[in-house]
Amino acid sequence: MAATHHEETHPPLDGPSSPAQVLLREPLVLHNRSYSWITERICGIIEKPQPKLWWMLFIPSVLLFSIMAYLFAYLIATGVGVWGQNHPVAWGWDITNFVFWIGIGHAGTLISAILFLTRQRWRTSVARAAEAMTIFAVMCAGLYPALHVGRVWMAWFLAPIPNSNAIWQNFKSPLLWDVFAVSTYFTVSVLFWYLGLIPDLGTIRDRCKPGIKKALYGLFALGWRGGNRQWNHYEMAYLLLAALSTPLVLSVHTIVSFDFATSVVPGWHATIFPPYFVAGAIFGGFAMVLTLMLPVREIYGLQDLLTWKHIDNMAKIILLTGTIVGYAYLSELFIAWYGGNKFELDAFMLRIKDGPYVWAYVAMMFCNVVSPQIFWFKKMRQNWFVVFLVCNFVNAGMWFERFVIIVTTLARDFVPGAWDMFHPTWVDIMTFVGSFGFFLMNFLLFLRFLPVIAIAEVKGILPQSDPHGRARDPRSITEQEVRGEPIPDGFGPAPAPATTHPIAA
Amino acid sequence: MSHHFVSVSTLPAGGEKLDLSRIGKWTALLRLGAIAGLVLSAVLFVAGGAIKIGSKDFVSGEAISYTVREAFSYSWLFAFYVFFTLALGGLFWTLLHNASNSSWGVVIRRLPETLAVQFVPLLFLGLPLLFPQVRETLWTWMHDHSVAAKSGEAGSLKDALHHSNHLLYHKLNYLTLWWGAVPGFIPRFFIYFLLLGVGAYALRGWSVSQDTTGDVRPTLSARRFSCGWLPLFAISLTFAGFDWIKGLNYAWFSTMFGVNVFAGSAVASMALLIVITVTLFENGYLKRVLTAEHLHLMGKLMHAFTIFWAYIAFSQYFLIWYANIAEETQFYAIRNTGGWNYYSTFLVTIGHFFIPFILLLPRAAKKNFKRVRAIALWILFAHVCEAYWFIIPERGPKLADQPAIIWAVMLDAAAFVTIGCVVALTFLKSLAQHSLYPCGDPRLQESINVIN
Repeated sequence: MAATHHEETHPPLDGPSSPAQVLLREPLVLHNRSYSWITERICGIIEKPQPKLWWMLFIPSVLLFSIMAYLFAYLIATGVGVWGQNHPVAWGWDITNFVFWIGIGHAGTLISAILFLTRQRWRTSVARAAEAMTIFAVMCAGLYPALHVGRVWMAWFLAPIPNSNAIWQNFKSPLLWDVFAVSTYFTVSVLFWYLGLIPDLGTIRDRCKPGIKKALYGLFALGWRGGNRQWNHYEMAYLLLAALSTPLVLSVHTIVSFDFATSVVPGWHATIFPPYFVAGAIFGGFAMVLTLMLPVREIYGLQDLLTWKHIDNMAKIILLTGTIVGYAYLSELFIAWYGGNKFELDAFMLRIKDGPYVWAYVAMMFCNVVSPQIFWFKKMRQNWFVVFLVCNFVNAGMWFERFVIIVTTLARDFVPGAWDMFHPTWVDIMTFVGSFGFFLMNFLLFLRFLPVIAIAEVKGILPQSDPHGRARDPRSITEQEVRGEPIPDGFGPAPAPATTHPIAA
Repeated sequence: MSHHFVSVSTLPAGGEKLDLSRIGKWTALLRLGAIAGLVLSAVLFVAGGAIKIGSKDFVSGEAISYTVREAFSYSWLFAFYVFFTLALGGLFWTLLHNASNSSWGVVIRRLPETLAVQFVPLLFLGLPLLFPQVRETLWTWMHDHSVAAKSGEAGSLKDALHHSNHLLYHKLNYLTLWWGAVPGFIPRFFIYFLLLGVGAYALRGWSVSQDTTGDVRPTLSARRFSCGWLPLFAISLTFAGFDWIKGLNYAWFSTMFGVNVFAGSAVASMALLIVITVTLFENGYLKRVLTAEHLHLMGKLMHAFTIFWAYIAFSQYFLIWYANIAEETQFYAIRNTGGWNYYSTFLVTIGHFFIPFILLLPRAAKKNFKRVRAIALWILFAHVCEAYWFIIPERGPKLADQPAIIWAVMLDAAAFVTIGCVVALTFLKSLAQHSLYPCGDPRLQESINVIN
């Protein structure tokens, strides 16, 4: 059996730094952790008292959330004039923040749904937190346009409900499509997140002592017993929701891009906007996931579940999508010049050279295109501080991107006489800061009460979960297999005879 | 479906080679087509300048005529573009496979690698486009340049254009033949081929070297190289699309166009890879290494990129339609007029999206070799239609109602068959040089036994 050409041709594997070892698939759970270790570690976060740091973050975020709630009351009582909007900048920080948060709300479902459909098994450790982040970010996003309508109590007019004034929505407007897209996305994201939680809720329920806690977890676990039929239905439902979410993920930011690109405003009307916005959202979303998960991983000791392999993968996605966003920026500039439309060119020249907001464009370029390029180097992708820093550059850069698109474009209207600068008021600033408080507060509560990593899913990718043994699991390919030797022990079926054909013709 | 585990130690040492003598009749036919086509094309290019085809102007309805050479120039660009995009897609899938450190595709990777090295015959086949009589027909800005330069107005070409054509004058730093602020059209033509060709040859070289040595280092080199080459690939593709296709009407512009070219290339070349893979399998090749899982994965990628293409093409159309700015709508205006309207609606939208999208939905369709190949053939057909739709409407006459159209379509077919035969022949020859699958790749066993 062993006498093959491969033994002659493959060089011996010498030492841990041999190239063949580099080709080995890195395990997604380190130190060969057992099922029970995983359950204990993740449930422990919920069951043990929270560390001091949790409280140190939670209390200020509640305070900030309260300020935001107060400011919203103030805005509703007074009017949109408390924000810095003016003529011509009718969309200011509010829509900037809306697009910023909705973009962050993208990565969660992307990780969960698209990476699920593409069988990216590393998703399991980050999917849950990313989905939760999605939901909280979409909640933050939704607040801004809802309040921007001015008379908030009339916001129900956005829904196509027959009313006595016979006022009907403008179905030709992308702004209305946004209402449908975002609300659908939010609904499906919540369902998807909740569905994934059910087996884990069952686990937590079973570990609770009888009492109100057990009753509540039990209520939300929907009678989960982990039987064969339940798993069967669960997995089918999960697959279907993943397939349903995927077009939704893409549609939401596409329609947000339509809000701008369907107009004839120079600087907004570019055909590349839809994929550029989607790439930007994935980019910003992954940066936010890492911003949250890098500390969580350290604080709760999840290094074996959220490994450097995961961080490396996400850093690579940030590099890729950041470069795609850079491609879009440069395409816009090139076509603004090539197209020969004077107004288009002027809009971009104002952004990059002649206008008052050049600093914002430079900040955007540096944060989104230049800073992620450091991830070309593996050493940098493996450096906690660098990854955290770049992710925060990206968070800032994506906010600047929306600011550049919205405010700098509007501030320079067609008629120079109408030009005006945008100055945020204290209400603008504190509302935005408050929305971070709201976001963080929700995330901290999520950490406190729900499993931050999908317990059942992580167990599913352990080598011992594979019914076919190591031979069927590409993640567990051994050195012998890389060399092409037959499998040495009882794991998996024996190599097939040479005459056997892999396909039943 | 149950698979038996296959160990690479049970595979033949040198892999499998394509036996060209088994398909001698086909290669002879391709050779005949290539030689006859090249001779005919040379005649059409050289003597076609003197033969006229009558037609009607598609806007005014007035009688116009153009020479066979003028008509054939568009035919040649169309055929060249189709095969160029297939090679582009081949390079893309190779780059993606290596850059993403993926294993499933090792079994079929030799095919996109071989597809990508067809940039060399394509470079030679693209040379006719650089002749003044051909390029000045296709890219009207070159014609306007030469008219302006000959107009005898004082000063340089720049001065002449400044008065006669401000839009073109504005782009003079880019739309030049040799050198403006950036390399002009002709140097850029060679730069694209250089960047794409180097990428294709480097990756194939590493892959082939493993066939005999089984060394793992080329895999690592290919991975690093591919990551670095992807941006260069994207730039080449974008500007090739701008120069050759968007440049047919220099007044039109769209930031999405490069992505549109990319989406079409990726889906069409995956379709071609499926067709080739299944055909090889049916003829007794790859039997030990290829499983329905591979076809399933390829089918899924083809499906995903079908959707991606539709997303891109629709977004571009929709945004231009919605904003309704004259300088942008001109591209769609001529493609939504007369016979082209039916053509656009059916082949470019339904054919390129709705039909393959629905057919590819069931898993069974992607795992069934014959069915997935049939769908792949349809997607290839739709891709050819899209290329035709990009280029031929710029030639002028309406699609229907013209006696001349029959001649024009025959010229298009002749160019397509010529370039198709040449590229198919060189593809088969390059494929036969080495094993049909990378038999020394360290990830081969992982790839053969892939499940998804």
